[in-house]
Amino acid sequence: MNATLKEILDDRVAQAIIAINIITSIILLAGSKGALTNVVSNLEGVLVLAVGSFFFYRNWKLYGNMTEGKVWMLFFGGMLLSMVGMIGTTIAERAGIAALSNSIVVLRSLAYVLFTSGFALKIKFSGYRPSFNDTLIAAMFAAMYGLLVFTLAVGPGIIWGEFDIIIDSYAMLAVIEIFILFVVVMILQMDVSARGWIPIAIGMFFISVGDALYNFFMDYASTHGGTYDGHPYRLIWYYGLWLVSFGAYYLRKKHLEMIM
Amino acid sequence: MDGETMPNDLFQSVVEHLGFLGDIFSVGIVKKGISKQGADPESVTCPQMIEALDDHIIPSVQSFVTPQKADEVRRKIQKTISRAS
Repeated sequence: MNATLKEILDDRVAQAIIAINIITSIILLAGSKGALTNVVSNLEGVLVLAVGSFFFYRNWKLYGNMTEGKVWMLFFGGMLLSMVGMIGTTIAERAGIAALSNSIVVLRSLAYVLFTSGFALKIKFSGYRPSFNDTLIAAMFAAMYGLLVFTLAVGPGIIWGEFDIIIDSYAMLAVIEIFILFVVVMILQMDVSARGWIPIAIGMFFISVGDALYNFFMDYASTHGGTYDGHPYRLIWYYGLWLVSFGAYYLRKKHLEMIM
Repeated sequence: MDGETMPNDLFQSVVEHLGFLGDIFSVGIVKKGISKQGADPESVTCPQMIEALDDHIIPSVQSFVTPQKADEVRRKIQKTISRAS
């Protein structure tokens, strides 16, 4: 058996996630508004969900009853939930069911917690021993992430005096995101390779910022009787997804290189 | 077989002990472990396999399972190696 070939095949699913994200990001960037972006946006959700399900299934089979298996379940379960949440939010928004839409946003944020903490645990189990500088960089990015998410989530509301919107959902979203930061830092306990962590940290930041800005401008438009499609901010969300996928791919690759 | 020769019995039996990881990981981990000792699947010896076990195979297994389970695997493989030597 050729382990190198098998290794490449084994990583094909991760490569597919990255490829999907790159292609859809380019399409979204090319056609920033209109029906095409709606179609692509929803298609990406469905595709990532399909690929995520497949990945989940593969890892369930491979690691099902092992300690690390539970970590994988947390990671991919979180990813899957966040994808379901994304599609659910879109459906609820289109159907005009605001309460359901808000509930799904909270559920999705909780999915990010699962996703991130699962991934942090995964890194820890892979046994990397980082240098002090690596750890410092990781901690710095984590701190920046929390601080910027909070600023961006609350800042626009303060500037425009839209306090009802802040109280409504964005402060809550920021608190949840900062909670993610604490969970991650606690779990990592200075035991992570910064090289893999950096794209994940930036990616999570993009996802949160994209989400917060998208929701803010959508709500802002609706409370002022206007309409806004918010696609540029959805694009930030997708870039975040792409970066997280890249980080995940890198760390998975590193783990395979270490053992095989 | 792409012109490859057959792995020896020792290699095969250690791979079988790691079968719970799936064939990709089990073969890959043992192969890398013995290659660090300058051996290959066709001609690996018992002393080389013992070195590979401590140096690479068990640490790799530990990245998937609990230390207790990894110890259990180590004991089983050591028993197999001592039977083969």
